[in-house]
Amino acid sequence: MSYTERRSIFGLLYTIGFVIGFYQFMVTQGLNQFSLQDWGIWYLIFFGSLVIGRVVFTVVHVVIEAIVIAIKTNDEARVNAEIQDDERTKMIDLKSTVHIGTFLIIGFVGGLLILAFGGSIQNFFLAMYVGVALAGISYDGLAIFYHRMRG
Amino acid sequence: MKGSVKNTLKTYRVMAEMTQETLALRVGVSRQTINAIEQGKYLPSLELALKLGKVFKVPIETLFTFEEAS
Repeated sequence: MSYTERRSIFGLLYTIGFVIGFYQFMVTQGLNQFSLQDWGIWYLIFFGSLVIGRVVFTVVHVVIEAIVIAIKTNDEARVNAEIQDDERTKMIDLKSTVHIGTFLIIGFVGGLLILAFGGSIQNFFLAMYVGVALAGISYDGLAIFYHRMRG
Repeated sequence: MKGSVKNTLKTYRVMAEMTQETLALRVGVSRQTINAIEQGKYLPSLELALKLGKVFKVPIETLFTFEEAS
């Protein structure tokens, strides 16, 4: 299993853990009583912490991988060779982003349908939340698929 | 025109007594990428194909051929 494949697997676990954890946190903060302003604030916190957390997570992962390979091989060239994004990895990354927009739109349109059929504003934002979660999961899930099957 | 690209990379690599890792280091990609090319799971860029041809001192059409579907 390559470094980039492990990165995708850990990224997938991070995304799933984060969206579930953040949802639970919002529930403890009284999600059902959120005003529009509250939703705006919570969404900004959600997107910000999701992206920043992912960057920190990736950096930590790279450092740990580099240390492990360096200890195993004691060869700097091998460390650089293992931890690199080559053309195949970049292509997989590109192909994995294809459905992000689709899931975001599904979440948004799903939320609009909920509003159109008389649903609450909470359910609208939760539908969008599910769309964002699925978009993140699809990105790493597809990357793992392409690494394993055809990439 | 339908068909697929076949390659003889593994044959040339074995003939040159190189491991996937050695070849990967020579052309600047990961071992997994060399493995994916050999298995026909990934089609390399023109640049990488040319680099591979240079390593084995053969033109790229010796390494990669397009086979039409019958």
